[in-house]
Formats: sequence, C-alpha cells, structure tokens
Amino acid sequence: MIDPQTEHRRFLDHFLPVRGTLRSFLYAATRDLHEAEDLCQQVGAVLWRKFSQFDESRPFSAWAVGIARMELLKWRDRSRRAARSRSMSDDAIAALAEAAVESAATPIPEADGRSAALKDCLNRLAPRAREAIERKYRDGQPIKTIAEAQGREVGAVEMALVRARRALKQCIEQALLRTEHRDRVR
Amino acid sequence: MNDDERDILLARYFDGSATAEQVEALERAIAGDPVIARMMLIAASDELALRDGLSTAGAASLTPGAADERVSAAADGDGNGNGNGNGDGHNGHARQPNGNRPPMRLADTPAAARAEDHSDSLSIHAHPAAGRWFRQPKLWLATAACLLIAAGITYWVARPSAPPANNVASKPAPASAAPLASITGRAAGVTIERGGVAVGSDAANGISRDDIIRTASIPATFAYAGEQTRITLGPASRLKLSGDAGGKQLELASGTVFCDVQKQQPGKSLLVVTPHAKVQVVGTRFEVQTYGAWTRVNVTQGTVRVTRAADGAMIDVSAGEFVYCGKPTAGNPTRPPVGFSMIQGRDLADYWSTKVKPAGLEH
Repeated sequence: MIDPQTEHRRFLDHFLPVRGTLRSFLYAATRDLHEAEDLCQQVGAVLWRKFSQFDESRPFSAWAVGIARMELLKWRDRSRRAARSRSMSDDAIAALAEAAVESAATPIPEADGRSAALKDCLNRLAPRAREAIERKYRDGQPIKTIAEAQGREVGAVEMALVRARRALKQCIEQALLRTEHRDRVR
Repeated sequence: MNDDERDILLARYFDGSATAEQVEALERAIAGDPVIARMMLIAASDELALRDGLSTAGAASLTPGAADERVSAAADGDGNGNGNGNGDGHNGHARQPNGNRPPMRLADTPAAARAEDHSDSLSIHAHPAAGRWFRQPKLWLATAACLLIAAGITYWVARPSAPPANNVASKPAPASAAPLASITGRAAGVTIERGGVAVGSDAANGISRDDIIRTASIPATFAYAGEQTRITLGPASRLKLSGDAGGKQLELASGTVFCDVQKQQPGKSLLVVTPHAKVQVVGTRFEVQTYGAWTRVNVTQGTVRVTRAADGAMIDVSAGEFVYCGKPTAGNPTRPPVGFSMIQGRDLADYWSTKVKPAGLEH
C-alpha cells in the first residue's frame, strides 16, 4: 500500500519545480492574474488526482503543461460563452504551450537571494521609476492611473516602466550571478 | 517594430490597455515564431515575479536623497527615449554644492569582499541588448560580446533558438586530449560540443581544448585541472576553451562569464576574447559590464589590459580605475549610459592609445 504522505511528497517533488512555468503560461494566455491563479490551482488539483496515472518514464513537465492547456481551453470556452473577454487563439495557445514545455524542462531553481536582490535593486531605482513600479506591481494600478497620479503622459509611464523593468532584471540577474559564482567556488 | 515598441506592446498587453488589433498582431506573432512565444512567457514570468516580489518584499519607502545608489538605467526621463536615470532634477536627488550628484557606489561584489589574495576574480558580463530577441529572433538569447560594445553581434554563425536542455545526444565523444577542465556541481542544461558533436556534460567527459560549452537557463561552473581557477558561465551563454602552452584562452561568444583566476605563471596569462576585444588576466579582480553600445571595465584589484577591437587601442586599467569602451568616434560618455550605474573611480578615457603599448604586463 502506498503511503499517502510519501506519494504526496513525490507529487510535490515533480509539481513544484514546474509550477512557475505553469503560472507564466496561464497568465500569458489569460492576462488575468486571478484567473491564472485559479487555473493553476485547478491544474494542480487535476495533476494530483491523476498522479497515479503518470508515467514516470516521461517528463512530468510535458504532462503538466498538457493538462494546463486543456484546463485553459475549457476556461476559454466558458469565457467566450459568457462573452467576458476576448481570449487567445488556439494557435497562440499551442505555441505558448510548446514554449512552456521547453522552459519547464530546465526549471530555474528558486534563488534564495531573489527577494533580497529585488529589494536592493528596487532601492536603486530613481524615485519616480520606483513609484511607478510599486503602483503597478504592488498596488495593481493600471498604467493610466499611474500616469494621472504622477502627472505624466501614459506613453511616458509605459516607457518608464519598460526601462525600470529592464534595469531591475539586469540588476537582479547580476546580483544572483555573483552569489551563484561565490557559492560555487567556495 | 523596434525593441522598445515591442516591450511597450507587451506592457500594454498585460496592463489590459492594448487595442484589439494590437492583441491580434501579438497573437499572430506568438503563433508564428517560437522565439516570440518564449519571449511572451518570459514577460509573463517577469510580471509575476515583480508582483510576487513586491507583495512580500516589504521594501522600505524611499526617502528622497537618502539612497546613495542608483541604477542609472531606470527611466525617470521624459518618455522620449532620453531617460537614463539621472533624471531632470525632480527626482529628489539633491545636488551637492559643486553641482554634482551625491557620489554613488556600485555595490561591492562578493568577490571583492573576500580576503583571499591568492585567487582573484574576474567577472565578465555580456548582457544581452534589451529586446534584441525580437529583432533577430533566430539568434540565441544572449548576444552581447563580453568586453567591447555588444549590440547584437555574435562571434559564430547565428544559432537556432535555444537547444532543448535535456536533449544532449548520446553519441560517442570524439577522441580528445586530456581534459583541461571539468564541470563542478550542477550541470543541468549544459551542452558540450566537441568536433561538432554534442557530448554529455558529466564529469567523466571533462572539457577539452576547443570544446564549446553552452548553458541554458542556469549557470554552470567548471574548474581548470590542477589549479584553483574557476569559471562560471552564466545562463544562455556560449564559451569556447582554447589557448596553448602560452596560456589559457576563453572565447566568449555571448553571455556572461565570471572567472575566479588563480595567479597565473609569468608569461602565461589567461585571455578572455570576444569579437570586439580581449582582456588579459594575470591576477586581477574586476568587473566588465556590457549593455547596448557600451562596455565598461571596472577594476578593484590588480591590473587588466584592455584592447579595443575597433582600432586596437590599448589601455591598462588598475584598481580604482575604470574605462568605457565604445566606438572610437562615439567619444566618451560624460555620465553613465543607459544600463550602467554610477561608480566611483578614475575614468581613464583619455589614456587609450593605438601607438604605445602599455608597459607592465607581459605578453
């Protein structure tokens, strides 16, 4: 008899490394953070329910993305019927799913220092850029609202956000790479 | 569509402010090009990472003027492409009486904080030019050369998009000389190409002269046999080990390299070569950053000789000094270009020379 705890642990060993890619895939397709989170939970539940059917000789990531794609298509059909929003085409979803499988094949380990690096890099941004980033990603404000709050044109805020994100990403990657290098040569 | 336009389109897509036509165009691009599909996935991942990070980071409020470090690439400009982080005086950066901004420091690298003085670290960072993926979608993610002016030039023939990380062909490796180095730690997503054949990256294979090492989404570190020198190749990077009895040579085609270099024997320096420059390492600790049209070499220990590929000009950069490398006709930036933070030190811009070979370093 299979110990449920062991089985659950085994499932998590497979699921957790690919969860990030699943979230990204679902968010890219839905453009709705809450829908993406709900779908991701749903996918997790389906994967767990069907875990006994999973063939361990095959990559879990491909199976997980396949399930996610099916749940996404079901969500899309429901959305279309409810006319809630325009949803992504089949071809685009298929292309995103392929990219997700490839990406999930080498999951990036969660870097312990990522939060600290983000905080440090955020502190390095110029005040208005930092404010725009915080309004957008912490407070969830749309760009138009941020522009009004800062007394700027929407285009200026869009560009500011793009550049701030690039700067943050570069800063974080450099910080993590230095940490990675330091840890590896010890 | 240039890189900025595409990134703005993606920003609008996730913001929900893109028009129906823009969304359709984006979806057609995603469906038609796997590289763009991958870019969309990365953009979604970045969005989520920021949301997750900011909801938990608890970053302290910024007190105007309190922070003494800035990332100059942060666009606090006017949205007309002029933003370079130095802003317009409304950023809360109080100017000093001499009209200069407060001194800003690049954070010390962990290597700089280490006490060991018999091993030195060299970091070479060839950061992919932002948005380049859209302009040349068939090339690998990271394109920037290591040392001198990156922008989109790769050393070898353009590669197809990222190779599947777990699809290394299990073919018999061509006969090779004794390994120069071997991979330490994790090797997920690393491929080694020898004689045109992909071989496994496990320690048993080792890395031989003229092997080409490629990383996928995570870094890989290898150690030279018989010494403490360690090389960490960043994600999405490509490096060839070459050299002869005269010294080691790393040919960085694209991406990032950090090197922890044990002091080399006289006359046998380690050379890092890119299509645009070469950096000779005898025993140094420095950082090289490449972004857009500029590369900056900043030395914190020892001396590095930098050769600018465009005109062969050379310069020796020592501890506490830095130099920007760009096209000779571009002049020298009077303030950090987009993508570069402020640093302290002495700018050696006036010391490039095509005629005088600097003394002091052998070779």
